[in-house]
Amino acid sequence: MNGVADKVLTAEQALEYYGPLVLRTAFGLVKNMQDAEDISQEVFLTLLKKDPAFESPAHQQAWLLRCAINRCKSHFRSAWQRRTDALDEGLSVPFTPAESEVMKAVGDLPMKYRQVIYLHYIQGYSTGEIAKLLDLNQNTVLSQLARGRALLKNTLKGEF
Amino acid sequence: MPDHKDYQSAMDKVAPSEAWMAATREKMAAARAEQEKAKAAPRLRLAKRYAPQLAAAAVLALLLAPAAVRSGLLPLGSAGGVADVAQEAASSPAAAEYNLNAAPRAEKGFTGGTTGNETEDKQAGPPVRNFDLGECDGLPVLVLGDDSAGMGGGVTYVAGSLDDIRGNNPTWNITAAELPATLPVWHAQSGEYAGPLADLLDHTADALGLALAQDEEEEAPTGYPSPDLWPYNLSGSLMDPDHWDPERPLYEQPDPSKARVWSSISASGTTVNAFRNGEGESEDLRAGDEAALALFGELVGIETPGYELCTDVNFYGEANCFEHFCFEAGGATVAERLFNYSFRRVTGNLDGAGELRHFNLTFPPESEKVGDYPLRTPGEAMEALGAILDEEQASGMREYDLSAEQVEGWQLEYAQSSLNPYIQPVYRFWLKTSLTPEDMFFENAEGNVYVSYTVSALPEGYCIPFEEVFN
Repeated sequence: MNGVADKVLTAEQALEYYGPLVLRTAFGLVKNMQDAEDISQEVFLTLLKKDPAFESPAHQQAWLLRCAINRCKSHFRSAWQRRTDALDEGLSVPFTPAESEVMKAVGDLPMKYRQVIYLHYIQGYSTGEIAKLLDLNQNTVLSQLARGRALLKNTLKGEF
Repeated sequence: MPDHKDYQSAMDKVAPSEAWMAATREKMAAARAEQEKAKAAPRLRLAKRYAPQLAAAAVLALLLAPAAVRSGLLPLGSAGGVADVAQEAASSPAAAEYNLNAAPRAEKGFTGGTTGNETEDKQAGPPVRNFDLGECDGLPVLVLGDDSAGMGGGVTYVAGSLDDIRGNNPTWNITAAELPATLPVWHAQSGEYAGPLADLLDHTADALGLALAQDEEEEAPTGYPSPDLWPYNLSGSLMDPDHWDPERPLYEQPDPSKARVWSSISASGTTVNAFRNGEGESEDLRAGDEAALALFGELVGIETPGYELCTDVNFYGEANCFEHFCFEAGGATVAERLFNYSFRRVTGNLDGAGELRHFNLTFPPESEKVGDYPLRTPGEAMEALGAILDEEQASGMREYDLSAEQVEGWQLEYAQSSLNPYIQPVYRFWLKTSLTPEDMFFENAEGNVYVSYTVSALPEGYCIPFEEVFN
């Protein structure tokens, strides 16, 4: 996975560089490739149209993540857009049984736990960074991460 | 047993398809072309903040893209930047096929949906708000989304006492005799009722003696669930009039470094937020609020300041202020005091040098009033709360027992959010759970675990939950 770019990118460049990151984030939250693609497309169109002033490449990456997460939350408010495709539908390489099981378990978590689990385990953010990204208190993030992990341990009957 | 490594390997498999990339490039090229067309006919009032940077960035992109490809930053497919991307997308049958086959979006609940033809939709103008849910006793039936965005479980706090976290709401546990018979409801300041947002920015700029450089208005994204509610905010910057000529781009200003005083100001709902750069952050929250009050108290309408500071306990057992502001404490009636408490607020934060670096102002609604709505009693609302709690319990959404019997108090509030079409009253109930801070995985924390839920303050029939209307 790409890290932070070495400069602030134009929207078109950002699509090429951060496209996988944004799509993965949306998929991790909405659990559906078609919705994730729609949401990700909107994120890059918003970047192009809004053209925010970024202080640094890291700021741009954080903006894209936050924009994707906010779009996912809006998506859940508009529950009529829910789709019920298989988790790995649309992927070139299907999930293994273990991957499917864990993806379903994470997908069944309430959104507030799912987003911190995703940001911590997949994006490698610290709880402080997640707190800044989501505009939450760090203690809330820590608590949500711990609760999310506890729920996953219970569902998966093992460690997480 | 599967664990986080399986999660990581699964997510590694999630990658954009070529068809999606091509379709997205095509849409971006179209949006860019639209943007360029708009630039050819500049609007006088709106000074696009970063137009010069945008042009420079576009040129830079064209110049740097080949180098970026060589260095591995950009894949070959994106080599040429704006022009080549457009060309590539235009010549991509895969993109055309993807767009043709993309599932049409279902749009229920409002009649202002799009036709699916972007050209026709643009000519027809923005969708018209029509939450026509009928009437109840001559008043339009409202819709209300819950404040947990459908996530359930209320909002939890760890605190020694409820008094530490509930604030100074003037309706806290008032008697039945004091309960207002009706409260006003307004259209949310968004969509076709977004007019006052521009005034909020202008008034704030005037109060500071600065010039407003407003951004272009953000358009509703395609497929946004409630395009009639867009825009949810207006934004811009505040400029020093001595160093800012609104007719010129930033780089042509006499002293660009001095032009922008507040780098970001935005209006959303009835609230204005502003930030500027500053070194460090003062821990004296009250001093920041007082500084903002001195600057904006008159503008917001605060004559008799009250003060609110809410503190819970954080994960490490330390005191944590999660809300602080000055508000107008006056008012002849409970309804007036609730109005003032809700809509006349000022918050400020100081930097290390004691200068204001952030402020937040809440103003009374100026959008069209929908009507004066009757209120249900707290007892009736508590019954509705009980039903929500039972449903959550049955669905497994919450992992601990909770019932309406655990309510310790309530207050009336005005609910407004970017996804709610109305500014309307709700009851907020505060419940004391049987959880301990340890159950919440807090370390070294002592105290009780409280949770708050909001429920419509209107009698049955006057308001329908958002999810019921739009599912």
